[in-house]
Amino acid sequence: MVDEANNWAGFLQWVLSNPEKGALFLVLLAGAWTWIKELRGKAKTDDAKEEFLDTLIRENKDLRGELREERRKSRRRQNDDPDSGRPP
Amino acid sequence: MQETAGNPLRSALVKFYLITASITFWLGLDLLLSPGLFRRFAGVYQVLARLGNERLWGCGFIVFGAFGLLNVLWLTRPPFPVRLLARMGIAFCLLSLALNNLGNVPPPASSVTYSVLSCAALWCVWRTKTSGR
Repeated sequence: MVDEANNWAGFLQWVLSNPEKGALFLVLLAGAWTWIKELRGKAKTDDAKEEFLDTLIRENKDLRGELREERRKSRRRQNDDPDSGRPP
Repeated sequence: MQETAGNPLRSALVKFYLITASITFWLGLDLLLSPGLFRRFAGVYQVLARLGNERLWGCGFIVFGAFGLLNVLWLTRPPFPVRLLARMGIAFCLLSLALNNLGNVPPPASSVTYSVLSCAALWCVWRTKTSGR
């Protein structure tokens, strides 16, 4: 515990006696952290967009299939009963 | 200055960037125009003077300050890396001054000002977003 406190005090002493290096270290740390955070955020957004587009395409395909099936059924019904669709 | 209406925090941040960039720029100009400033204040700036004279620090501050000012006053939004680098430059200048002053015994009164400004500048670096200002 005392050793750890001494280490921290030594580090602080070093930072204060080398202000430009301490400043550079802190600024680079903050900059790198921000950059990585934003890149990860962007990647997540891109993934979400891609997933959303896939879902839309899949739903569209299903709906088209259903519509095609409905049309086929209706055509078959009309062929089976030719007078059903005509007015009296 | 770019459009920031509708978001009070963002608007305050843009004003803060403008203020810190101006402070850095004018500090640089002061260092360039007042030779011997580092020696005058009883060795407060002796650590910075060890690395370079006022001319070098002044030029550095002017470059970072002007870059920061252009970044805020530019009509279109600059790309994310440019904005991040400009804020990092300003934060570096203010942090150097803050740490230099805090290293003195006893620290001069300006340490408080520089410390608050440098903490806020670091926070601004952390707040930089790919979307938005």
